[in-house]
Amino acid sequence: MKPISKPQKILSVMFDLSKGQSKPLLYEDIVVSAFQRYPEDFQLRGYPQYPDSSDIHKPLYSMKQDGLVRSANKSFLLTPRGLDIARNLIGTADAQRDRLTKQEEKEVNRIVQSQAFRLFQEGQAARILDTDLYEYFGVSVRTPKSEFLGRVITVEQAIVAHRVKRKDELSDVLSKLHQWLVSRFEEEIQTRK
Amino acid sequence: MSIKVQPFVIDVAVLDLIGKEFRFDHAKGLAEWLKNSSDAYLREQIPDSEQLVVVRFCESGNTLTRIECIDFVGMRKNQIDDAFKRFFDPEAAKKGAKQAHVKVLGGHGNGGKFYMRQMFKSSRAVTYRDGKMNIFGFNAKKQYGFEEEFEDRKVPLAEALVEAGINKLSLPPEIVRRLKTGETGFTAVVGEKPDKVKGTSNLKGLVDKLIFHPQARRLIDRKPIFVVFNEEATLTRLTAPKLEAKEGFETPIVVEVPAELLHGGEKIVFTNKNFPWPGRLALKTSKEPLRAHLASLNTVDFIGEVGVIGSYRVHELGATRFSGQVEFIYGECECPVLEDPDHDCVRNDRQKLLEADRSTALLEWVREQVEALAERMETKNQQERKTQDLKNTSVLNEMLNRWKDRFMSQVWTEIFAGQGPAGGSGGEQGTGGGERGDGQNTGGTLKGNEGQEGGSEKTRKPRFPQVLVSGQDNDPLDPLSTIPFTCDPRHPAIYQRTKDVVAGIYWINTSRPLAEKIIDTYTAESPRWREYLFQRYVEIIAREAIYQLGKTSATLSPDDVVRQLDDVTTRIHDQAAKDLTSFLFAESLQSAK
Repeated sequence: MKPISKPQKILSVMFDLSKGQSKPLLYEDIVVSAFQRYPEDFQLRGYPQYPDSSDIHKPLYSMKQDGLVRSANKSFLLTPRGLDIARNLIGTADAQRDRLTKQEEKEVNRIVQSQAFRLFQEGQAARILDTDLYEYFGVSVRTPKSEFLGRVITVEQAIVAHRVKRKDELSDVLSKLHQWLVSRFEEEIQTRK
Repeated sequence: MSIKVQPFVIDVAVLDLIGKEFRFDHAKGLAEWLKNSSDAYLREQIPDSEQLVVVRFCESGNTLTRIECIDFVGMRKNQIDDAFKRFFDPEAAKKGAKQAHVKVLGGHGNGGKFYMRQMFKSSRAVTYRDGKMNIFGFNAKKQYGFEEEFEDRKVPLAEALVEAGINKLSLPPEIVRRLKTGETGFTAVVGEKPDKVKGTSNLKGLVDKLIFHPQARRLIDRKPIFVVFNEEATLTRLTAPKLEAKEGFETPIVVEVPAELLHGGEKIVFTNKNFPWPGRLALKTSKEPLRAHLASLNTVDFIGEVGVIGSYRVHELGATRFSGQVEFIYGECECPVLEDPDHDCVRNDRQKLLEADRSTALLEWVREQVEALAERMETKNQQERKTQDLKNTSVLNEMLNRWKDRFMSQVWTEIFAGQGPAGGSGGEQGTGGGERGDGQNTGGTLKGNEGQEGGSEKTRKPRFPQVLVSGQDNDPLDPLSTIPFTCDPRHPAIYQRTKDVVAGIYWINTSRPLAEKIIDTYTAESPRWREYLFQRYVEIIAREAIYQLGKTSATLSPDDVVRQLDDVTTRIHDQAAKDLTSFLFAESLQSAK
């Protein structure tokens, strides 16, 4: 079996703890569970009988920036994309690799119904506003930085998946729209990086 | 086929046929004479400052009896034979030039002659050069020829001046010197009993038309062209009207002509080997609408290598939106390839371009540019109107901002004390959230815990958000802004940019259709508008409350949100009922205060 990384281990622990759902988990529960399942990875240096919470902290926030995890007030939950990746890790994901996952399908459907998509299709891309960009990424102007970047990655992954798995006219439009938006609102996106 | 080539025989009737096409008015015809005079100076390489052209009008009673155009160059007989006598000679204006490749205004050698032939009972050119006088003209039967005894007749200067009727004019010393030394002579083109033309029946109307005529206007602007009436001796300089630009549009809009344009599904190119530069369009604005006597300036002139090769009133470019604004616009377009001899777009009379794909595509493009400028002017107008409409709104907004700070200061303590991170709108915290609310809010001051959101920059922001009104308030985050910040009508009723989030600013979008409708229908002083502003404040406070709640839980259920909204809006309404009765219900702004 292919070895998995520390963040992947945390992801699978969170998936099990939340029973495959997007529900909040206490930071302490994640630390303890990860230590119990992978003691060699998450033990306190010099005290192998105790968990080291700092080994969990950094990967969790890195996962947040990748759009896999959301957090508030010391609790964390897996995003739909995080759940998709966790399912793949533990081998319960849909085996058909040529089909979009439910999450990818949902993202594409959301994009297709957005104002940005409509204006772009109608040749009125110049009328696309910052608020349309937020709708396109499924965020708002107040979405925290890491979550925003996570959503950018999630949307990009869905568009890439569409291009790889569907390869149709819509794939082409989605790619062009995405490139146009990223270029047009580069400053808006960069201020959050 | 092998032929013995014969010279073409063309009936003189063709002159009547073509002459009708010129559809002269006297301003247009005079512009042709002015161009001919100007070309005479160009051929002699006399600088603009040393030139003199005099237009003389004579009337009897209220009837215009004679029009003259006088220059101080003069023609020799051979020039009359080679150029003046010849119709349709594209080189006519260059004949006799000192320089081989002189650039002249005259194009096809017809305009001035047709004007003489078509628009007067009789006309003549009285010309003097090298001590010899020639008088060549058209009789009442529109036939032309030398006046008897005035074909290369030797005449002393003084006598020649008397014969031309210009001996009493006060001429500049330099002109007199050149005449006396014989360096140059003079030509007086005289039209007797001009045809009556609508709009030019009186002298003032005719002079006005002349100085506004696109072909004449440029010459009048650059060269010393004078006017004299009847037997007057003193010359009066003609001046082209100077237009003051519209405020905010003082700098001309200069747009490069694209190297190619799409027209009827085909690409039309505006460059080639001989014409590598596609040209440019310069649009200007006038403070006053270009209508009535200024209407002829509401024009886009197409400039050739020398002078105007076509001129279009803006409405002739095609239908444009923002018609109220287009009448403030004028300009000129340079497009060298229009004069490409292989695809020449220049007409004989230089009024309009020849219809061709290239000229049509260019005219359409120019129309689009005019429309784009008109749209910008209209937008500015709307903004100014809105600023005027909203001038009382800042007072109302200040009242609501103060009320909101007081309200949030009290209520935030009650709702959120001990529930999670404090602050107007905290952002990402470290692991597991940040500080607990201290319950010591101070109402709109910078004290307390400031949240960070929308980025990692630690920027201080007000304890509670600041609400501004689009179309009324300048952007406080842009120190150089001189005009109010405006939102797009498609932006939400409550709008924030990324930088507004950091600074704790909300904009009430007054461009939303409902906001505009209330202002248009009831004015910004009505209770309805105050109610509208108040409702936006309710939204802002509710939004802040939900974000505050969001910091306490990673998963808010719809029930959580609804409970929070119920709680906050109930408190807002109860407090407003106590504090804002007159603001919300009084009919006049004064009583609301």
